[in-house]
Amino acid sequence: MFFYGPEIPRAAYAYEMWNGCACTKLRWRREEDSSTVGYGCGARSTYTNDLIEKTWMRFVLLFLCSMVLTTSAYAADHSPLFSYATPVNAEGEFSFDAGLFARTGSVGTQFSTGSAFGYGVRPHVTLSAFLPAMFGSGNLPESRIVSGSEWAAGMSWRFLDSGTGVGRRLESTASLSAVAPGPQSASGILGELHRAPGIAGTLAGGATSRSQYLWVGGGYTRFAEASHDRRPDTISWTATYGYRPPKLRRGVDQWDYRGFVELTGEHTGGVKSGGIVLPDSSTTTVWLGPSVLAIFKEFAVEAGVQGPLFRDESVVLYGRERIRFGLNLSYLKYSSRRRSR
Amino acid sequence: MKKIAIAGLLGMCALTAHGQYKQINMTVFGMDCPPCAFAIRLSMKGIQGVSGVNVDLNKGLVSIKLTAGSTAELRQFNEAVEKNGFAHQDADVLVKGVLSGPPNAPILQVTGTNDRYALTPFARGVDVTALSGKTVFVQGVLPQSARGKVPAVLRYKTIAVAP
Repeated sequence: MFFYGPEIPRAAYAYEMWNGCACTKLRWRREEDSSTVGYGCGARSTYTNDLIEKTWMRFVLLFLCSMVLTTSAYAADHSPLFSYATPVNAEGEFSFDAGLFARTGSVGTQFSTGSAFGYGVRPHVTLSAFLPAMFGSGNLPESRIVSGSEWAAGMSWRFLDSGTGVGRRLESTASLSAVAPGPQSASGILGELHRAPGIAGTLAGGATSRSQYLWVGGGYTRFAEASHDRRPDTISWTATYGYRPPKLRRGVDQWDYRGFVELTGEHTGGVKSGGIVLPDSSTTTVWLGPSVLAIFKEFAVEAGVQGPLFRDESVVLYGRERIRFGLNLSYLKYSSRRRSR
Repeated sequence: MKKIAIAGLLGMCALTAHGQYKQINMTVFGMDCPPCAFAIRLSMKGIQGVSGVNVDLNKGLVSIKLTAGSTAELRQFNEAVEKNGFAHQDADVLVKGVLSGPPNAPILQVTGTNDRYALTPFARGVDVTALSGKTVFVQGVLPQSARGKVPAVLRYKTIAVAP
């Protein structure tokens, strides 16, 4: 899935970091200028230059690390669109995802786009980063299934992996991500809150084969409090069944298609604003819908739509969310590098 | 003139190099879709001496052909499977090596590599006592090994003296 479930969307974090770096660099440049002019001291200028360079390099490294570490956990190449699943990157494999998701309700539509990067550091460990952007004016409940505006950086660990037969695997994957507010605020009631970082964890397990897939998973996200405001805790759960028809069980150099039926559910806690939990701000929703994944070698395209099965949400606060849909593109950069021991 | 001499020397080296593993047909568990196979194929092709790789997803079979001068070791192929998150199983191999050891416990030293296997017959009726010390072609099965390990035994089906 693209907005990897437990994880999180986050676009602001990098933006703030980048701006912070730029401002710091500018300030140092000014200090350097004043020291050179004011003291006329070459040694001090050299020292300052070294300091600037070292510190700047540290910030750049930090920034790059944050880019790498920031995202979600699952490689979208094998996974359903909305649900939690178990695939991780191969060792040395880079994955790049770009997607568009939308939630439409009675009080507007909210679009989110995002880019996700993943890198397999070990055969079962993937580091990931997710950089989203939002637009639209929907007034919708918190969701971790469909991304919002938060950046995320995290790690996924496939702690159980058992090849049980030709094409068959039983596996379980846990993910942990740090979530940071992005430069864009959410719209609606959530957009009025002071935002703070959070943490998200997910757990997924399932079975794969050449013909069928089954995954179940759950996730929990908790945000810190900022100025007596706090975004709601979110518990989410998903179940996915996938099927590849016999005629489509083809070879390496042909398009591979499979269809999924995805069931997702979320319970969000109360929204805390000014130290007070807003009445009726807690929600519970369940969604169901199909998605289709097509893969050709290292490229993947996936699209899906979901409609509500159950909604327990305040119409006054959030309106009625009617439909969710998404489109995701993936590029997988495999490594042919041999590991030397 | 120097260049010609160097090229000639390199050519001689190539001619005298011995290809060891000729063909490996490895069963791999867990590959469910083309990207899995694509990744395996790419990893295998990255091993020096591999001339071709074919992956049959429905059979879970990775077929590797090697060049005459290949010095690739089985460990490298197992690693290629492991780093992609899959499980290697038995492998059918055609390999060239030198027989040594006592008649009741022959050892195959795959020349040009560090791979050594204790030979056990896949079926009764094949006697290798007369082949000790000779360079042979062996066709047989390398059983599944644990992650990060290579099997110690090669269960041979046929053995022939190399020409």
